[in-house]
Amino acid sequence: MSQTSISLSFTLNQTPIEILVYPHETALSVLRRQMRLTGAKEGCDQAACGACTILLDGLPVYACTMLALQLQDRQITTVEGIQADDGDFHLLQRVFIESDAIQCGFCTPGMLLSAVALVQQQPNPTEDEIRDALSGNLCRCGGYQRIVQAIHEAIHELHHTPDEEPAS
Amino acid sequence: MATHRVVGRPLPRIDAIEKATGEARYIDDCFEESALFVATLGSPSAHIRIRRLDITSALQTPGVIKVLTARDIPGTNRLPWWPQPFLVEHEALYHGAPIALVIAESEDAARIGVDNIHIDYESLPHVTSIESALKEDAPALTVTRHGRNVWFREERSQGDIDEAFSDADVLLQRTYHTPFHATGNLEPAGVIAEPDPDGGIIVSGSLEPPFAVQESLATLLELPYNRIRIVQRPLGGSGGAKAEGASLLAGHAALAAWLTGRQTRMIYSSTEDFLLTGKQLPCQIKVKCGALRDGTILGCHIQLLLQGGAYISTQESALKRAIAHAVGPYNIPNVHIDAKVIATHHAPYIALNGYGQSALCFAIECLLDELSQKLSLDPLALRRQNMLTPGAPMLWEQTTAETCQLPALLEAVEEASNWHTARTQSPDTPEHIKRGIGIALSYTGIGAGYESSVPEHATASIQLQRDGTVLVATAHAETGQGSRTLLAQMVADDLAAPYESIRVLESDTTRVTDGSRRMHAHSFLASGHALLKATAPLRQQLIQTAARMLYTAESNIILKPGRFISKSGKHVSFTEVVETCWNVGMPMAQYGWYALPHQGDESLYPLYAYAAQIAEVEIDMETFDIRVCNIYSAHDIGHNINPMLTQSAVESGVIQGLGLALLERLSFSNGEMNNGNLRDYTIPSMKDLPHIKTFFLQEEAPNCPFGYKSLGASPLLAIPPAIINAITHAIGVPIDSLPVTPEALYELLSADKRYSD
Repeated sequence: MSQTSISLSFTLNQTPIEILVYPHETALSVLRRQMRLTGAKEGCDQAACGACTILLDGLPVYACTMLALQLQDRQITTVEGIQADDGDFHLLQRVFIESDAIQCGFCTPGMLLSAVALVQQQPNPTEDEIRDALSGNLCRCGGYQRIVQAIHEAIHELHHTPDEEPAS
Repeated sequence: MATHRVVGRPLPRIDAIEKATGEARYIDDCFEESALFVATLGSPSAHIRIRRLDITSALQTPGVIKVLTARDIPGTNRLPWWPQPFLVEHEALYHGAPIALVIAESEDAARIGVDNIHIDYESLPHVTSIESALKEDAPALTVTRHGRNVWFREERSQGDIDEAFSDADVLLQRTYHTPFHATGNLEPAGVIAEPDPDGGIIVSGSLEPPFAVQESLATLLELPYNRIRIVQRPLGGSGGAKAEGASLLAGHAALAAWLTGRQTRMIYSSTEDFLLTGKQLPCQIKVKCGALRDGTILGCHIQLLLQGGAYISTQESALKRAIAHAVGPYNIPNVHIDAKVIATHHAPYIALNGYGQSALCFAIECLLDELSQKLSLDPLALRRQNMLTPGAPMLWEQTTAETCQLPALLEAVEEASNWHTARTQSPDTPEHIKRGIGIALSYTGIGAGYESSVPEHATASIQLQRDGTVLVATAHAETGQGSRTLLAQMVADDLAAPYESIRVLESDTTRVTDGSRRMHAHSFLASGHALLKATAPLRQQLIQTAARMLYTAESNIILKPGRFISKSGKHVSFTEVVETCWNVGMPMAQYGWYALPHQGDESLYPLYAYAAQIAEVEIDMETFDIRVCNIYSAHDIGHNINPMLTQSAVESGVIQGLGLALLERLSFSNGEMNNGNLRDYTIPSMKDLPHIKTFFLQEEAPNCPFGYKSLGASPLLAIPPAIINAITHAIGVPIDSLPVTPEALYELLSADKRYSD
């Protein structure tokens, strides 16, 4: 490809990034190949399966059909960036592990990010809202019931932190 | 069996953390900038003769290094166990059959290179359906003693079917159809191949089982087995190109690496994964059954036509599995089955979850509902009357169904679903919503059994490390079913090793020796047995050492997680005992080998897992939208090694079964695929999720590792017919083909007098 590369700056998992990309490159390819973050997966490559889900300014998007240049000046979160600064797992990572919401694991990073966005946007989602929010992430293993339960579990924990427990 | 400490607990998966953090490295996540990319040119049509392949402009494509065709193969251009070529020489027999490989410096260049190959070809007549393949003047893919385009045929009888039908009060005959299914994995198949610097070749990838791949590379490259190393990476789903088809893909990448001397990557795109790899092909099942007025089923006659694709692959196993389970888990004295595998111009048949059985289970279970309707009997009662019970004779004169717990399973789902109320009372729903409830039963043979024509064996190796950690390797593939976790739990319990200290490695031909070629449906049972054979001498040695360290008799030693305790309460840790073993020069590693019984006289399979499942559906009569609201799913799995994982496995099977019932169908025109991608081939999403209630009946099963039978295809099998029977209950119209999409339902209702006015 003899094309001119273009400078791109964005924030990736809270770190400012400035790199050169080709105009035809997808966000997914730049994250995986150039940034070496392989949490976002290349599944269907046509915005159907959700394995490539990343957060763009806190909202889930499919990175496979997005151009890298669209990341300019945006805040990007991948699964590698959801752990707390002290290394603690994100609540959703922990409940996914504990509730067995992970099987082959290929959909897991995308599924987690959609769930993270949901819980941030809507701290008290209904069952239907959970299903809506995650309907863009397919799981071929079919582990949906565990995933919904894990999210319920996370929401329950958010609203009943151990400190509050005695009071309520 | 001693009391279990780790086995039986709902422990999180051993590999959950790396998958939740994104650290798990699937094959596409392992890349070197220097690796070459290999792309495949597949046949553009179902049946062609290649006149000339012009690769000039492909070779001139910037970045392209080489273009390989069948002529470049140093060894034999044929899979070792079935006659499919690695690369087509003159005649391609299905759409997507691999013809040439383009090796380039980048993926883009390789794919452009493929587009730049010019094939001069002649289209030949093709047969792409069972019907067209069986016509007298059909183009012949094969002519066997069974006829034109019939790969295999097997007939089997018990009792006297003609007499049964003449004694019957009621006769019922129907023909059922199931469509093409794709694996539809989110992770497409992929491998990385590289020349071994010490001679030979190394291939790692999203594949299973590794020994089949090793065998085929030996043929392809004319290398001895000890120069071929196959390493399995974590699998993002399996089946298709990752199982039976893995040898073609791995062969292509290995050939490219061998001839260029460089590392090559070959990762299918999702659309290639659909196009280039095997499918579960359609079945046509004609069933006739005869019963007495009181519901006693006297006989069943089945004609099964299984579409087999263009090459012999695993169809014979599917055929035998179908025959072994022909009439479902029922005690029917007179049975005749005539089953054939039909050759067509399609990619070879692959054994997806439920292979050989799911179509037949759909047919039998739907027919039973129609029979109950005809006899004015409750469908659940009809099943209760005819189902297998402990001690009842099984089909084909096998010994009795001793571990069968169907009566209890049926009772569990009957009660939980409020079957009788739901079945008989009109639901309290808006007028345009119709509600229905349906049931189906299934059983499935665990272990290689009757369907296996080659020896099937499992291997396991276990190493105690000096620091008290443990390495376990088997030939068994972790595909998301949690087997690595279950194996670790077994080791923890058997050796008193701390669960956290056990690492179960991905399978690798240099870690264990030749396991079975076909490990798909039945390997947990076998690998578990093999592993326990490896742990047995180590357990003995650890107890002996602990006894010496605690100055007591071996019989006084009690094993607790991570500790050996004497009767007086003194204890030593697992790590201390292991270190002592090392210091005194005891063996730190053991190997286990287990040969599966196959084609036994008394039983076609070593054991069977049974299931009863009930589905409740709601149908919107304005939009024809079908919603599965509830699933009640009961299983007898023996001793439940990990209740959390087995529950996940059931829920997963339910979702996969729901996909087969309502969504999934690959469509073809002229043998060319129309909807080979995850956009157009619909698989279940979160929105389709019903409430799933799972029941397990626990009773340690004999001759199973830790009494655990494994689930096999059990969670999936009865789901399509349970859902279809629920739909029929709601709308009153029998259904004979899958899937029931809203469009299919609309057509069905339009054709029915009651609805068409």
